[in-house]
Amino acid sequence: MGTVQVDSISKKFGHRLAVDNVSFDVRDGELMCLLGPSGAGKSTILRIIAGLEPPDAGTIRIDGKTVNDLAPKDRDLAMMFQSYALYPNKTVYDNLAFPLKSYKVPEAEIKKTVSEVANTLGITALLRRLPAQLSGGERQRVAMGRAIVRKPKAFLLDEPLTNLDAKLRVNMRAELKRLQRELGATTIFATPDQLEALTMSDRIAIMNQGMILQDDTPDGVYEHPKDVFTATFVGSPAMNILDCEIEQKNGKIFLNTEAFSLDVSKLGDLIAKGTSGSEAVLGVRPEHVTLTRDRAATDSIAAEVYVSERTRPEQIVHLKAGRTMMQAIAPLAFQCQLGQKVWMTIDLAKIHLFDKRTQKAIV
Amino acid sequence: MAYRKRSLSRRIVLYVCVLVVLGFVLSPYLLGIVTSFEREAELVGRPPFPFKAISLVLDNYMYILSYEPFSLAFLDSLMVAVLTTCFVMIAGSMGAFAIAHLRFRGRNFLFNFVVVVYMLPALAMLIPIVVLLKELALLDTIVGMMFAHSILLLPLMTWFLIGIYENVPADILEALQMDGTSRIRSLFREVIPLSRFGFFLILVFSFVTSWNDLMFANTVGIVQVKLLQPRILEFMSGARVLYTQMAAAGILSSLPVVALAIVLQKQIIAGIMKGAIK
Repeated sequence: MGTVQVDSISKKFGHRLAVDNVSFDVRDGELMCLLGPSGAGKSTILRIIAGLEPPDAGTIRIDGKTVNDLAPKDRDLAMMFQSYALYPNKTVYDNLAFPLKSYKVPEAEIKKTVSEVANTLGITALLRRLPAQLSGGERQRVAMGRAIVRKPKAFLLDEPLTNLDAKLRVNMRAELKRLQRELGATTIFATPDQLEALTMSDRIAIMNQGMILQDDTPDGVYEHPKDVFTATFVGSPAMNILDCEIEQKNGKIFLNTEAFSLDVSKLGDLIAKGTSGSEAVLGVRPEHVTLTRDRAATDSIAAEVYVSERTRPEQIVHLKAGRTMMQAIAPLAFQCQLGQKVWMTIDLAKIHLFDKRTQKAIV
Repeated sequence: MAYRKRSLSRRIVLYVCVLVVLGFVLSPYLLGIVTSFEREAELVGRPPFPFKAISLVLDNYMYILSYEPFSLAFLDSLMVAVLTTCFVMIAGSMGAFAIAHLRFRGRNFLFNFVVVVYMLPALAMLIPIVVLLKELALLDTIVGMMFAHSILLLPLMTWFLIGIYENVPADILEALQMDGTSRIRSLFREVIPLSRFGFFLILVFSFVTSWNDLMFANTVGIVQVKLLQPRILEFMSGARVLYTQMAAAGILSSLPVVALAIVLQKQIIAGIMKGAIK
């Protein structure tokens, strides 16, 4: 296994900047996730690392060696495609053996390696079948097998779970993580699914419009998002985002939104001086809003239940305060009818504050 | 394959329709077969229908088969058609693969160029081709004939093959690239087998076009290379037209094409049965 360093990569398609000066390092054995909406440039980065696409600028280093001028096959990487790209006219065995045959591995060793890999992935019974005769999950395993069979320096996985149905996706998520840890395989994997990223990766790079907005651990990305995009993209249900104004009055600091005013004097030292009167964006995760029937604290806010989604084991309550819509997570036992008056209390220690203009985090 | 059970009346209607279409398409050929077994004298003044030979003789076939210029022309035609087909399929495949799957400067220009060249009438190219082949000392040779046919066929066949190879997913080619397969190997070992249904169709089309060509055969071939179609036409060029012998020659000349069509049919069915192309 090896390390992958991506240094100031840029790539233009026509006039569109698909990848904009992206850099990151992946350490040996690490699982790095590129998370972002479609069109963010995740696949392009994987393809540039793989050598399928030349970058316009920047360098790729594998184990410290620059590989920009090497052909894909000489980079010693394996890539798994979203469509799996199994060879339709080869059996599962031949699909797995193919990368080894290309590298002129002796026949006996190919047999041994393929049967080992098939064993690891539990696809020994499928070796004689053609890809068309496999289910989605089986195809996914074969594609995985074809990637690991060569024992490359790193794996590049392009949305490996996207084409699976919901239940299988959850199973394979766990299995893929387990397999990655067992092999100690350096892995870069692209996904638009924040849950996959949070559960599987050692590190997440949040991408949007060709740029990396934040490169951090899953906890870091979730607890300390550096901008509004990251804050709303990671976490489900998504963070509540409210426009507000910072006001300093009588030695106290208030966040005034359209619907309510929060006294955040306790956090005063966190909010930079001289921000009074400036526009800001308040972010509150739904799990940091507590709902009560009666007023629980002096800074509780009156709201009306708009609708409740009982997702089980919890419920997501949509609330309306003034013209502002918010979401909160409440236990199932909390009974609420449409239009009912409730009180919400925001955990002030957990709020996020962003600059309205730059969209960057203040707190 | 699953056959649905059809009611008798529906089957009858279906078969009648098939027979009508077949009769329409095949009647000239049937008439040719009948004529080829007739005596010349009995043909005169006799209506073509029903397709019934008054006499049934093999004289015409015996004559054609022992007529040396015919067998020589048959072999020459076969040689030219096979060479042309090979050249067109190999060169066309490489060109089509490049335009369908490789990204390079001038790709769109090349694609448009292929289409424009195809749109030129063959007659417009006739004189330049003859002049060119003459300069290259290839006029009246098998190789020259092959080039003439290839020039005629390549643009269209390349255009068809582009459409066929575009159906092979780019992901599969990239997977091959990652696995260390060269492009040329990817084309011949993966892309063509995956597209064999279309590939064989184009192959037969090329063979038949070359085999049936008259225009180039009459201008590029002069003395040394005399192809089959102009040779058959000679039966019409004397003082009287040798209908029955010409019919026998025509039927014989159709045999390679028929044989190839039968082979193709098997290939198509095999392709569908294997379910290789989703």
